[in-house]
Amino acid sequence: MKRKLIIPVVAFVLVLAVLAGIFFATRPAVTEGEKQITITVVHADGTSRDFPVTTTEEYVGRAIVSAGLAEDNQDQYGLYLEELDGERAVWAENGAYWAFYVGEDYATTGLDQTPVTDGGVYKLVYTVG
Amino acid sequence: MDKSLNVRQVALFGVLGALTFGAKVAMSFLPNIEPVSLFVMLFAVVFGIKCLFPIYIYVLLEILIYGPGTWNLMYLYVWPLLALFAWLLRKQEHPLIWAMLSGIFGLAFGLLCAPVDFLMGDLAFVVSKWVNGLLFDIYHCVGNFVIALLLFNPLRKLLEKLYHHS
Repeated sequence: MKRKLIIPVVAFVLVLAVLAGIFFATRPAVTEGEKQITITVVHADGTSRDFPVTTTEEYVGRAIVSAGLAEDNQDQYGLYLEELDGERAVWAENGAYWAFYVGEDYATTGLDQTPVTDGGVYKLVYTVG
Repeated sequence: MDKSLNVRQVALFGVLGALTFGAKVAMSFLPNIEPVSLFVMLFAVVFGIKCLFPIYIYVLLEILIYGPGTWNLMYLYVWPLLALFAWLLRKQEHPLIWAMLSGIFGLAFGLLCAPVDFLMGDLAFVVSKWVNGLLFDIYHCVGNFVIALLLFNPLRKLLEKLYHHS
């Protein structure tokens, strides 16, 4: 390797390591044991339905699947919900998807990366486009 | 530099834009591993400013097929930005330089999306989304690094030969 390339390569590896460190250091902690949560499904017509769920799963995606609320449909980024409470949201058909909220806030993590918190309310809202 | 397009270039750029889209779809089962960064860098070093034609044909295909959204709004500026850096480095030949450019671009992808994320939320939302997406940026970085390390120089030679000597 040319000597002048050594510094950029080392800097590149360091930046990569620092960002990986930030990710793992700030990753939300999971809670073990039994948790009571509520999954709220908001349909295309605006009506909603609450599903109280008792789970030992660590992440919301697994809790939804193990409670039988949705099928375990995986894509390259993890769980991808299609049908909830009898309503299908399929992007390929009409650009619809289930938008994921933690409480009232739009989630910044996917279903498989969001830890289950005891008493947590997780909302899935039928959204187009 | 001749900035006009001839018929051959119109056809070529259309095919390359479509090829970029097809290659991305073909690799879409892998999380954040994509060939688009490699193609954008190749287009920039071989075609110069005209690289914007195949790049925006690719972006147009994304928007036409998946619909306009926040996930492809940033494509309007992130790919030309990568093309600009590739063009600035066009005299470099060492594969590590290209692997690092592509890797850094992958690593910075989440950060580059931040301006569009402001359409959906405040600073706390944008920072949280960026930090939570860092793992996918790292996949993107490693994938881009390996793809460019192995393929950039051979494909550059091939594309230059085909483009300038046909």
